[in-house]
Amino acid sequence: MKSTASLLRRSRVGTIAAVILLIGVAALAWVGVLSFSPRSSADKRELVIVGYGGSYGDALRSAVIVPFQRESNVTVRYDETCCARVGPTLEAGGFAGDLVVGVDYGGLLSWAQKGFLLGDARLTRLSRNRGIPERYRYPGTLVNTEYAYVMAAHGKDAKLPTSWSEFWNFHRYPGRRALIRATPVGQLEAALLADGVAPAKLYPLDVERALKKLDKLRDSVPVLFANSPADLVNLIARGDASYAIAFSNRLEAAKHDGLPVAFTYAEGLRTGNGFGMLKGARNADAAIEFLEYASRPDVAARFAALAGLQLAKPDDVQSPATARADSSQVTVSPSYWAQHRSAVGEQWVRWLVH
Amino acid sequence: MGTLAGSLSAPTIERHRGYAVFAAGLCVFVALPLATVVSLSIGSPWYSIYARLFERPEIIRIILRTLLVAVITAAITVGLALPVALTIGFSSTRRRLALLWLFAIAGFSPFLVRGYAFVGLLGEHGPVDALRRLLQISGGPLLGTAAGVVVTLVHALIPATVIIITAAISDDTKRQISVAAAFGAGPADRFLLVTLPTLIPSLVSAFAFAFIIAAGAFTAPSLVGGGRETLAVQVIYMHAIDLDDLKSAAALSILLALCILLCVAAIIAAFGSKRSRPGSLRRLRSVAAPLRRVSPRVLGAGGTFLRVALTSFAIILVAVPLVYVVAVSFQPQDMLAFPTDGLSVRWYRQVLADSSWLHAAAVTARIGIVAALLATSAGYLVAQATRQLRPSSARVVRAATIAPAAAPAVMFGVGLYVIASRIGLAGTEFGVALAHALAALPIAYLAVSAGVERYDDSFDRAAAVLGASPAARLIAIRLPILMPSFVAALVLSLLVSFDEVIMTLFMAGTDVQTIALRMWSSAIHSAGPELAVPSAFLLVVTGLGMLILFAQFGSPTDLTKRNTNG
Amino acid sequence: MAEAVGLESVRKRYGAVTALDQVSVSVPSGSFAAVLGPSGCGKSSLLHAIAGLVRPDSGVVRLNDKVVGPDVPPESRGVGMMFQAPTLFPHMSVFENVAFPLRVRGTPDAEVNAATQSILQLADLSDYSRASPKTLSGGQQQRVALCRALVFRPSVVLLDEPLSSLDRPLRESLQRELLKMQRATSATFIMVTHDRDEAMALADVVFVMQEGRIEQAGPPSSLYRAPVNRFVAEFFGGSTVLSGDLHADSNLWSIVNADGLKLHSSAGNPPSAGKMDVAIKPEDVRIRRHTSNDAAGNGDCLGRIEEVRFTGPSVLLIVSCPSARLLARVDADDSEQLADGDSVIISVNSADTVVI
Repeated sequence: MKSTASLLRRSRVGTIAAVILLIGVAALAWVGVLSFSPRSSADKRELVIVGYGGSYGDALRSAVIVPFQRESNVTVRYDETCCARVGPTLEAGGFAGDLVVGVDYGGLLSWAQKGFLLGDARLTRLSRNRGIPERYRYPGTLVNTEYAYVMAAHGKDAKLPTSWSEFWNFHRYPGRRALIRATPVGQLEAALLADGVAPAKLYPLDVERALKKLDKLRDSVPVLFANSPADLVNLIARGDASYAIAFSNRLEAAKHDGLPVAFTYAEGLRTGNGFGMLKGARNADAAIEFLEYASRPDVAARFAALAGLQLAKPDDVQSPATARADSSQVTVSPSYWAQHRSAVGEQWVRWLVH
Repeated sequence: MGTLAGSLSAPTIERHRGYAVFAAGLCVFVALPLATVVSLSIGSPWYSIYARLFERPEIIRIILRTLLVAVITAAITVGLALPVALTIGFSSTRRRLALLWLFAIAGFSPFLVRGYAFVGLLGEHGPVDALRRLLQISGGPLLGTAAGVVVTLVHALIPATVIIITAAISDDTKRQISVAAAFGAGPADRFLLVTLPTLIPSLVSAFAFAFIIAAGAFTAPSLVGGGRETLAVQVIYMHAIDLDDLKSAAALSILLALCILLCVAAIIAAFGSKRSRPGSLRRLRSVAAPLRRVSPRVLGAGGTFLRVALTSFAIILVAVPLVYVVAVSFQPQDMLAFPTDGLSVRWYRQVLADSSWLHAAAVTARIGIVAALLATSAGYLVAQATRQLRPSSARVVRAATIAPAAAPAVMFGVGLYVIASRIGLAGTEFGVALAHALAALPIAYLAVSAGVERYDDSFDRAAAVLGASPAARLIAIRLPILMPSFVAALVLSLLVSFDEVIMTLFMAGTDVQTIALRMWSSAIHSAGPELAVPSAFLLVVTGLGMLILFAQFGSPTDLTKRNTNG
Repeated sequence: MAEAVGLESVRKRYGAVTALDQVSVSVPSGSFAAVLGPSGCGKSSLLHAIAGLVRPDSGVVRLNDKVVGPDVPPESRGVGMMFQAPTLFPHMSVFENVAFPLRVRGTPDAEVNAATQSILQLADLSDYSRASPKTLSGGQQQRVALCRALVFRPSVVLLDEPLSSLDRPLRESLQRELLKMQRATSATFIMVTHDRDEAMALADVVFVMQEGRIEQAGPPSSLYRAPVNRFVAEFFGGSTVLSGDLHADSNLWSIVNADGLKLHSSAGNPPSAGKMDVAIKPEDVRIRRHTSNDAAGNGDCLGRIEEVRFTGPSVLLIVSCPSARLLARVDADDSEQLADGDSVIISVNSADTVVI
């Protein structure tokens, strides 16, 4: 073996090989130690939160996570890959994070029904204590904010449609429209309202009718399909699309950043949005502690303002929820979407490629 | 005489049962995640999930459309890659290296970077649409159209296909062309009857390669595509992620993989791997016949013009997005725009100030090195095994090794995750490295086997007789001589690891954050200019890596020669 | 003389092909042995069986009077070897290539340097010691390979057609080099070759092989003078072998072959009666022009020249008489009037023939 080593030392290639091997073995050892050492997160009280990035993530970090870490001894890791891996990971019985944030109430409900959420009693109590409206009180969730699917346009002073039926008026509002590809939530409601369905009779959705109305849209103007809520705002801000059905919180943030977007809450489709405690959470105590902090009225208000969200108001108080909100807004039914997500989703895929 | 004894005496020195055992193990390792996906797609009765898929008319349509887009993409890609390969194959060494370098950077720069560049390039306010308006061509921007998806995919696929075809242009080809010219064959006859037939096997493999990748594409159609052009892998993804319907996603994955497999088999059956068949030659001759009436000088000039024009187009297509990414990383505005209003390093400052990028960089480097080491070692052992196994078993092993390139990554990601979470590897860096090693295995194997197949066993025999033990032979003789192939395999698999998103997404869990993953979530949540910084950075790293590789060991064509034909 | 290498009834089969068929060989130590035979005769397998690169099916291999079992790997046999191709390690300098056998034996650096330098000097390669083998000519590369095979002073050096890929002048100079090195190291050299001239020029003892068997072994001169069978006569002696019937009357006997060529012998006892083979070396065939006044004598044969092959000092003729073909070699000076198609009279002195 000694003679072999001396042989290697003598050639340039041998030196390269030795260096590569050394780096490789070092990396392997490092990775091995990191991968197989017992997790230290339990005693470090580490909390893993899965959520969205962009303006939402920025707001959550600066309004909630950073000050929370200052006040408690919990370390928060914020994972922006929401929510691609949550479903498959939990289905496979893995760890997808302690908390999920920024998810639609309908989405939270369907996860809860699949058993992906942890119905911790402390969370139910917290939800009640914080005065979360009855319509958003499902075990395992804390839904204290709302946003709306609204009409948006490119340009700071763009002329905006005043109703969904106007959104379908291609003479008055010519130009490309942008929709979101991943899910039909909100977009079907918008189409039905545009087609003259009364807000009270929206649910159960007449999916076929909604898709026919969307066909009219697609046949009349070019339609872009965004990859994500943030992407939708990018399309509008860059002017790739002239009008869009977009998320009000993202638009608020974009407007705040001075991007050329305009939008209106008229006939906005409101949906609850909040936290869920995930099955397999490693650190439920820290999660509760975090949620207690996040739902503190001052913190929640700070976060909502930064993220462009509105705080959810009790059921008996009709909108306007905030000064900007409009009485014409309609609430998206969480129970409908929790029940029909898969079936309507399949219809949506069929329509997309049709 | 020496050669007879040489081939026959191999057993005592190199043959080792261990290689075959390893190859069998590797086949199992590759098959396990696939089997997991199959098991996910089983309902009760077992076919119920598939039956549901067939009840939905759109599923067939989606698969057919995906295959159509893949065929069109592959055809355009090969049509552009052929003139480029001819230009490279017949030009001076320096120009050849420069061209290969450009295509290699493009080929191995992160897929996400390129998809991202195309969003900006093809949009309403991008340079492509500006050019369209300037030329007063009717229609709209390419963003959100099938054409945009095809352009993005072609851009992504040209480099690898160029390398595959260039590798097939040997000195033999050049000699045959000169001989044909000496016998009085005009430019049309030379091209159609000599050049084209000798390149057909490589064109078929290039086409099959482009087809497989295009049919499994996810990033490009997600970023650039429209609604009707939603492709199969996107639909698989929507089912797995947005609809929480993992079973349908698994069944659809299997269905898609089977369709891809059938198409590739059909392509190979139709065009054959045999050099030239009388039927196809006759057809080519009938094509050449009317061209013979044109004066050879005109024809030659026309052919050259066509080749140069297509090559230039391919170069522009490949280079522009790379330049665009670097340019926008220095732009001062908030939104992606080109041309930019002046220069600014604000996005660099922002990225460098964010410690999560630096942390991700360290994680990426660690995982990349381990994955590259694993993939390269596995590639070497498989190459040794396929050299020793019977041709039929070698074919099985080779297919299993290449399989990760052909199967949709979502499928492998979910399958691997299910297994990894059972043995506690999910969410660990080692688990991610293992997944990356699997993703890099095909390319690492191709690079290493190019060297191993050409390796002359007589070096081992000589060293043995001169007194070197098996260990000394491996370390002092075999590995150093194979070093260029090893370095190529290491660099290429490192780049695969840097680029991998989908499998990483599942394997990484919440605990591991790579740069590609970080970029992917940024791209999803805010496609602003800050994304261009890591993109530009990765481009520079790729470019330098390729430069080192070329300077040390010559072009990748030399490294991949042999296995593109075989 | 002690034995350096010995093989006893060594067999090796590859499927239907028998490479070594009960081969027994004994090479005295310090000698230069050549194993000669046509392509595919098993001569390389013989060498590889000694080196441990081929595992014999049965039989015994001895090195320096010790039996070496089939499981002893090549690296433990301590023989030096040269191959048809130089097989220099491309990633090492000339010096490191030559030093390789010493390094793998863990020899101290000082000794490695001294031994390597001295052998490179002997081979006149000192100037190239730092060069990459790729920059050397074919002949230089083989000289480096020779140094590498000798540097660790093995008692047995195996040479597997080391010169066959070189051109003639280079081959001759390397043959001299091989002899010089063999004398200098007094090692036992065993060289495989298909070139009979090379074997004759270098070897003390030659083994002629055919189809896995040793046909004849011995010093080149005895093989040349007294081939034991048709194959050795043709392959090693370059002779023509004719078959004929023995005619004996009193103390005279003759062999008459079917074409009427008659060989006389006035002395010696006739070998066994009946059909027999005779080997005739080309230089023993006498040719003279057939003119109208020159009739063929008794036992002479009238033939025709089929081909004239100029080889420098002599000319090789292929003559038919009338259907049997003979090779004849004549001085170039005498051949000037001879041309294709000429009628000639052929005679052979039976004293020069070898009855097999």
